[in-house]
Amino acid sequence: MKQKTTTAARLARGTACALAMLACVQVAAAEDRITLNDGRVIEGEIARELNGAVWVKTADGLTQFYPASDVLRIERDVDTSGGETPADPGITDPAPSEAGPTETTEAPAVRAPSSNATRVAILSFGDADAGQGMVGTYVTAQSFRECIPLLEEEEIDVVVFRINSGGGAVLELMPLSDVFHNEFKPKFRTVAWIDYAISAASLSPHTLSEHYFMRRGAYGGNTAWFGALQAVEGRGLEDILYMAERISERGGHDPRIIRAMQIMDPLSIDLDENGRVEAMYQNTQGEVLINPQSRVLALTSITAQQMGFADGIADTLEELGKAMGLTEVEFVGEKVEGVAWPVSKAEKYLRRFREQTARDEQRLNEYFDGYNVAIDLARGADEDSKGKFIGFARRSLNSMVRMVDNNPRQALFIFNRSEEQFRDWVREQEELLRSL
Amino acid sequence: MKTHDWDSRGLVGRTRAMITLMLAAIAVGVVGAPALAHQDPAKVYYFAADGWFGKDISFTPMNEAMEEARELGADYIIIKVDVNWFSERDPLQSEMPDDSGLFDVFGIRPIRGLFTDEGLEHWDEEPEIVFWVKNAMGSAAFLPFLSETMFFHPEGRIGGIRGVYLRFQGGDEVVKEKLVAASLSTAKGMGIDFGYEPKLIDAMARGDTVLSYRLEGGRPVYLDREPESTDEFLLTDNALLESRRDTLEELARGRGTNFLTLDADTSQILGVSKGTVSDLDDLLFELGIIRNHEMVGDGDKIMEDWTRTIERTEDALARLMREYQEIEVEGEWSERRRARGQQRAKLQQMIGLLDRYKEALRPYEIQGFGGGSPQQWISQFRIILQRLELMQLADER
Repeated sequence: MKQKTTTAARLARGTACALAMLACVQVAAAEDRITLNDGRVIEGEIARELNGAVWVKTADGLTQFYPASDVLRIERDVDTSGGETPADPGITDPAPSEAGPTETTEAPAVRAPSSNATRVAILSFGDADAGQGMVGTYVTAQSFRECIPLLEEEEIDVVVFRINSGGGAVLELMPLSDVFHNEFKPKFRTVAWIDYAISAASLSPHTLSEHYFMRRGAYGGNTAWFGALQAVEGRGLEDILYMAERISERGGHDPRIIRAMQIMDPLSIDLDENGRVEAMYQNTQGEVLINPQSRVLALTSITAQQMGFADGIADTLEELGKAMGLTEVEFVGEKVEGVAWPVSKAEKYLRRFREQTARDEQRLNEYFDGYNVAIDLARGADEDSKGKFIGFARRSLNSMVRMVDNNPRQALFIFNRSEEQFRDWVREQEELLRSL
Repeated sequence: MKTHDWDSRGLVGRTRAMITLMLAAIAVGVVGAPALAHQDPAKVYYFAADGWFGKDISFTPMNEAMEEARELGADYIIIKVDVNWFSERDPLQSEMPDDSGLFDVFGIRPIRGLFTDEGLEHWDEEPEIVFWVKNAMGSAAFLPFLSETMFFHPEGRIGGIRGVYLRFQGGDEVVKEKLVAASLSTAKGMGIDFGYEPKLIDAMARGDTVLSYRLEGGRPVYLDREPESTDEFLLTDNALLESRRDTLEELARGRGTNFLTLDADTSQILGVSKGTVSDLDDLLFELGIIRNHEMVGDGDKIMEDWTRTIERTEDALARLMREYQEIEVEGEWSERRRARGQQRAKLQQMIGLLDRYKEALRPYEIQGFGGGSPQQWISQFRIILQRLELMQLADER
């Protein structure tokens, strides 16, 4: 029987991984060297190269993207042990040239699971491609809360939230943040994997500290609005800005980032000689302009890396495992056709929840119409035939109840009532049916 | 009308092909083109994504074509992009100018998954996907960016996605900027995924983008300003400045510079396009497989069958709607019951067709239907079905 993984054990394993990576860095002797147009020189391993653009994995394990237009020159397999670049003996220890090749020290990220493998579950945060991305409707705090016992049952160590949503209701932001921060974080290492994370779908996962971007990833555009593209203003806006500050703090992110995603505040940065963010400004004075004046910020994978917000780039499970620094990983779940990651019990629950919500949304008008028409017919019918209409109305009412049972948020979004008020309304309707 | 440029070679074309064959024999020896790496001929699967984007070109037929290519073990998939670029209501089908059309990145999302690493995961060996661009305008502009390899037809162009801002009429500036930011970051992400410069998306979509370039070592260096020397070249300038705004004369002649339209020459200079080819043989030559390839499958048939199926479905829906409306519920109880049964059958058939082909159906184009999405019509029909059931319950013998 597999032994239950404790937080301490996980931490110990994480530290071991980190040490292994550090060791791996220290024995690397041959590196690629990329000279940028602005004069900076980046050393590391070219992880990917495409049409002149390069992704470079640097000694700290991060992968940085450099567009073709920034790259002046690429030198491959430069021997960094030969003293060509003077090393600071206090920081680096250039390995002797006979050191073994880097790849022998790195285990493949995805391999046959063993008892030591880190167990990872992917949880989909919406599915915009299936029209099931709306935060508040298809992505709810309650549904994620339901996942926790299922994750524990499968002894999950790391939970990856794969974000694919165009946003949704402001009122769901803090409940989601609370669930992630107060309920998930103490139990699991939590990670956001960014595909399409717009508006509420970036603000709530901002609670998490680690963000890995798919190359196509988009993240931001958090301006709150209502009606005919009207912006939330005044006290309402301040409340939302403050909420975003608190969420930023929970994730350990500079609050100026999220602010530039909410209102038209600029954002710029200074980089040190290694390309790391040295200073950030809520104006345009930094040497790299991330968000100009009069624009709302939405990050691409490039800008997210440039400003140090992305912890890595990963398009596949294998890349994700590597980016997270996991040497031995098991993505838990069963293979399901059409789903690019193993479906764990918790993920299965989320997918079923969204499917049911979608079915209910599509048939909602039927439930309403059936109920109302059947009640009218029952009122006009004689005593002998009344029963069949009441039965029809009851079935329609039950469908509405099941809809709210599956997704309590629908009480608010559809019936404009709290869940409790909805239950009261149902009791009234049942009384009405009995009286008929 | 669909055309196949690769079938339409004349004497000049054949002579050119012979020369290219001879050159290929020399070239492969020098650059080691992929052709000779194959012991067996490279399997090439070809189809044209032509017609209306979102209707003739939609997920189902493209998925079927990709699946056929996979089953046949294609090494290369060549997709010619040639969408209609005229108004649907224009009986003369006059080509629209480049500055027509509005930015819409979300139309491509259902198709995008076919070309990503995840979408190709079930292939034993990922094929090389090649987009051959003739008319990639409007929503189809994003299609060629879904591969690392893009070639242009001499008349090829990518654009027609101006005015990302114009999509949002009315409302507060900050909200429109948020929606613009979300749209552009999504579009740029698609380009970044395959190694394309995201600034080009800004230049195509945002009128206030100023972008120029110079070449260094044969590669473009993009500049967020107007050219300042003779070796710098303008791509787009700021439409918000009166002095830089395209004039009607410029727009009518396709010479506007407020929104970028990528043509064959510019694309090749910028490294977006790998080359310009006028027919399929030239393209196969450029890919290094002209002497050693085998065409497999019939992707065009899949695409054409889909187009015909959609046309037939539209006709069937119009007929079913007419027949449904002609049914009169009257007479004896049994006649009324039978009439309602016929109505139910028609509604269920329409629901089935709408559900199956909803990705490509536009109800406003179907006689007897009106606005609204296929899903809205399905919901409406389900309510009517339910009411028919209740009416039957209420109908006394």
